[in-house]
Amino acid sequence: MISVSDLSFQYSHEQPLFDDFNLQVKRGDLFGLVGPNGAGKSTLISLICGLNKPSSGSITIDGRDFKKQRKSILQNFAVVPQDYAFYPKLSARENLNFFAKLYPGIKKPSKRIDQVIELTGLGGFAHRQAATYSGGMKRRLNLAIGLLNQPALLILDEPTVGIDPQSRHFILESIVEINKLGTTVLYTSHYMEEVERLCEQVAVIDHGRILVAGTLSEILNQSSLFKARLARTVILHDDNLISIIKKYKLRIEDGFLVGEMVDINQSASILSALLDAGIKVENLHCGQQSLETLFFELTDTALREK
Amino acid sequence: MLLAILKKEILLTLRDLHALVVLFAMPVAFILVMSLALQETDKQEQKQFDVALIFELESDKQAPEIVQLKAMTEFRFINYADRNTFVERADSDHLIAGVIIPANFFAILRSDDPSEIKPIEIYHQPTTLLPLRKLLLASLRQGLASIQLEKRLEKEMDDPFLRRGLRDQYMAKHLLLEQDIAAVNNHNNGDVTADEKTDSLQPTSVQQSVPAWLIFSMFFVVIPIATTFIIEKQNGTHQRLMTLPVSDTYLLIGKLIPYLMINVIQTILMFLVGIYLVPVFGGQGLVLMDNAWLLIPMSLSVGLAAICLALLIATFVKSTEQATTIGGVINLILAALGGIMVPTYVMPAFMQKAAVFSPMNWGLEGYLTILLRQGNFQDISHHVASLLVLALFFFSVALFNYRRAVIN
Repeated sequence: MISVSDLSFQYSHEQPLFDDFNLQVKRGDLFGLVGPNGAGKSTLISLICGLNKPSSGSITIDGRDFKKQRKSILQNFAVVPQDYAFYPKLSARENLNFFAKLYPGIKKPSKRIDQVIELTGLGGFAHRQAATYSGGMKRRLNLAIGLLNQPALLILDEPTVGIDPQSRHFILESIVEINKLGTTVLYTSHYMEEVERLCEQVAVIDHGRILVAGTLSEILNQSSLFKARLARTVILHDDNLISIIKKYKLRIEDGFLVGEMVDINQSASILSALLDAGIKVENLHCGQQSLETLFFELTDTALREK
Repeated sequence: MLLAILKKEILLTLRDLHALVVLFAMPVAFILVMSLALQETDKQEQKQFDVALIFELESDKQAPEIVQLKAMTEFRFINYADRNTFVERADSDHLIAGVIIPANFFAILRSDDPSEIKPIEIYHQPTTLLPLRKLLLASLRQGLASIQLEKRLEKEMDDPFLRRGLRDQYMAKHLLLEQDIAAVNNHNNGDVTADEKTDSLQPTSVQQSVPAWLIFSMFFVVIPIATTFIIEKQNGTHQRLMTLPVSDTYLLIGKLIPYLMINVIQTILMFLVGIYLVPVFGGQGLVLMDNAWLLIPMSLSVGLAAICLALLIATFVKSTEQATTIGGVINLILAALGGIMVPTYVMPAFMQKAAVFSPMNWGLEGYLTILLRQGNFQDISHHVASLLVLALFFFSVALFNYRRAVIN
């Protein structure tokens, strides 16, 4: 559906952000794109939307190029920006009516407007000015506008920022439903548990590079984690401990004994060796790591300036 | 599609109280205030100015030449007892000047040898404008020359009727017909007298105020247009609009047309204010002639220039504060330069030349050609064409900038 090949891009007077970047999103995917601030997510979206032009490389949507088939791509394409991209002084219905009329492909706009109002649960408030809506209602209106043209490709940029758990749940459920109906979804979020819950395909990007990509189970199983908190009484230069560290290629970080394992059995062997050597373990985590742990592992925990 | 864009912009403007105040209430207030304020100036220009007349010799008051002199000038002469009385009452009696007739002035003037005559003294109020001072001097010169000429003719001819006829012919009064330039091609039109044309050399307060403040308010569309742009840019609507299957030219034209409609409403409203509301407050009402239809092309061209300038500014600025400051300052400079705030006819010559650099002046001159000079389409065509060319230029640059906009 989306094919990004050998993409290079840089803003004027800045270092190149993307250099030989490649990304494939297949038709029907619910694809999660995660990365810290400044990773290049928004720029990548703007490039995919045709708002920025790559220095080199190509981006095609369903095999079509923006340069030649912009209008036909945009007919079946929608972006839901992170901000509330509508007119707050208009009601939900007025907003939807305006945006619907800009799609020549929508044959019966009022019918479609009724459908998206129902789909996004805005029925009771459709005639109220959007400025008076709660954060959750604004997010739902933002999503509703993106659904007007029944897009084949829907790009969602942080669609659940700053809303209550009920609205978040509603939006996430809606996204799953939309995807089930055949819409390919490219989803960016800072909420790792959302991506983990929704997306089958995930890519972690930072500084314009893909750090890891694949199915969620693939990338989370790529490195099975062993993490044991040692008792405070443990002497770190104990010979037995040093020999275990060397044998299993472990390291000590902030009082934790940490290492990447091939499988869960290896973790059991380490624990057994530690206990045999009389080294006390207070807490243990092993097996498939969470996306958040992987994210921090890949991008580090230092604060990012945008 | 265009109807949807139109409806959206109209709804947004109707729900923007500040925009409504700027676009409609502000010019109505300006027209009312300025028409009524300038009305007083009109009255001053039309009234007779009072000049003190002081005789050093009481018996000179009865001289027949005094009656003649008074009749020949446009000023109202009021006798004052002496210099001190004149000085004391000059301010309270609103005198613009005092004329002191030396003793036996007319007797000496009548004599065979007037070489020893003392001159008439003229004392102006410091506030009297230079043109008025010159007018008083010229009137007195003309009166005295006429008296002298008649005396000379009196000696040569016995027939008093013939004498007066010769004098009048000499002064060539009936050989001169003072008219406005607009009457050049209508010299056979008996309906318009020379005097009426002369009165319209300068616009009345309402003829100046209505087009001037209408143009000013038209150019203030920069505030709502830029505000809409900034909101669209800041909240991601611009990004969303750019990902819709609609061309950016269309989106920009979609912004232009609703505001052009707003400009048309402004035009109708402001002229209605000039025609009906200003007289209610005691001012002189605006009168439209047969050529009033020319207000349509004139208003559309002013509106297009104003909106395209607003679009250009809106595509450059990054915040509503910038839009208000930059748009406001540009409008104020164009208005000050273009004869909106200070009518061009009271400007010095070099400023009148500089005024043509303001597109607001092109519009104002176009309106004045219609309202004041009874011009036809040919007379306003160069103003209309200039404004349209400028609008096209502004729109092209705005479109280039709009396309350049990215979602940074």
